[in-house]
Amino acid sequence: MELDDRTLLAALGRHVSPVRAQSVLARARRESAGQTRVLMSRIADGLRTYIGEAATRTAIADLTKAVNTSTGKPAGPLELELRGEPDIARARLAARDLCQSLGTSALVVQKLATIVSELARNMVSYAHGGTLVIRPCPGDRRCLHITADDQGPGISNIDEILAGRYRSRSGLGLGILGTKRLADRFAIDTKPTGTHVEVEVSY
Amino acid sequence: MNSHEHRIPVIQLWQRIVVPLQGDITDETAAVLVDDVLRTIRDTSAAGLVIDVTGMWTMDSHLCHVIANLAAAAKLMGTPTVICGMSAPIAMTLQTMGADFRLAQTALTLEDALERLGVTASVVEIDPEDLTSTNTTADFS
Repeated sequence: MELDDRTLLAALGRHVSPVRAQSVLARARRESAGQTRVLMSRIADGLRTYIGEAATRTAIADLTKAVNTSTGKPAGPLELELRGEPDIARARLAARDLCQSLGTSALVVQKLATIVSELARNMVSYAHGGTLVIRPCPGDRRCLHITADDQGPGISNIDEILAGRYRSRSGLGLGILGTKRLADRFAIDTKPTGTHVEVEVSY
Repeated sequence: MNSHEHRIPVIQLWQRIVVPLQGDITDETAAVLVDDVLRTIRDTSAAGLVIDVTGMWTMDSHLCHVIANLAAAAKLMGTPTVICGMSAPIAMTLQTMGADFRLAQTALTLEDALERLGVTASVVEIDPEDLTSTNTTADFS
């Protein structure tokens, strides 16, 4: 998705002065090196120094809307391949950038980053990796839908874990139960051939 | 990347150890950290350990587990641990998840944490004139 300066400046101009809009955008362009997702989060960083946290969230949400209208499509799904431990950190940073581009509250950023981190870790540690997809929920709801898929051996004691009766030394129990507690909707289907988790987080 | 670049500082301060956690901590950095901290405790016979999480943008159950284990190991060596600087969103998230930090005490700020470990501060007003005269005369004369 290519973002044109005219659309961005017009939207930014509704929240800061034209001069500041120019400087925030120029700096964000420089620091993001053509990566759209990074661009939004750098713009957010720039705005924050002028108008504070709450107003920045509003501005970024407005900006995202303006960009989506101009390109004619909503933000596409974010697909993350998880193979090793570094991918876990990459996944939670991507989740943070996505939240910033949507202008969510700090608590939602925290919830989503934690959920992504827990799901990613389980896949990397116990299922030789997997795929994580974050996309907007269908309809007009302000909510994100996360799916995690792997071909691992499944979680045999899932009932025990979800009932809170199991706590492993390595932390697996808290990861899944914690995700369920953080999520607004949670579903898990685990078999010896793989595990499928669906989570929704409202913002 | 070189693991040395990501090494977390282990600061010695009045026979206490302060560990400021920052940014996004990988498993490797965490493992090195636990090692560094326990070795420093043994070498210095530290009277207390402070883990300052002010600089953390997020904490998942794995990192909590690492910190809880570190606190438990420090306790076995006779050194109490205080965790400080947790942000409101992280605190609420961990609370919702049901993470428990029973093995360590918690404090709001670094100052509170050190106080909890028996450090009392005495702050003396500094005369700005003194600072200017000692620091700058050599450079600008």
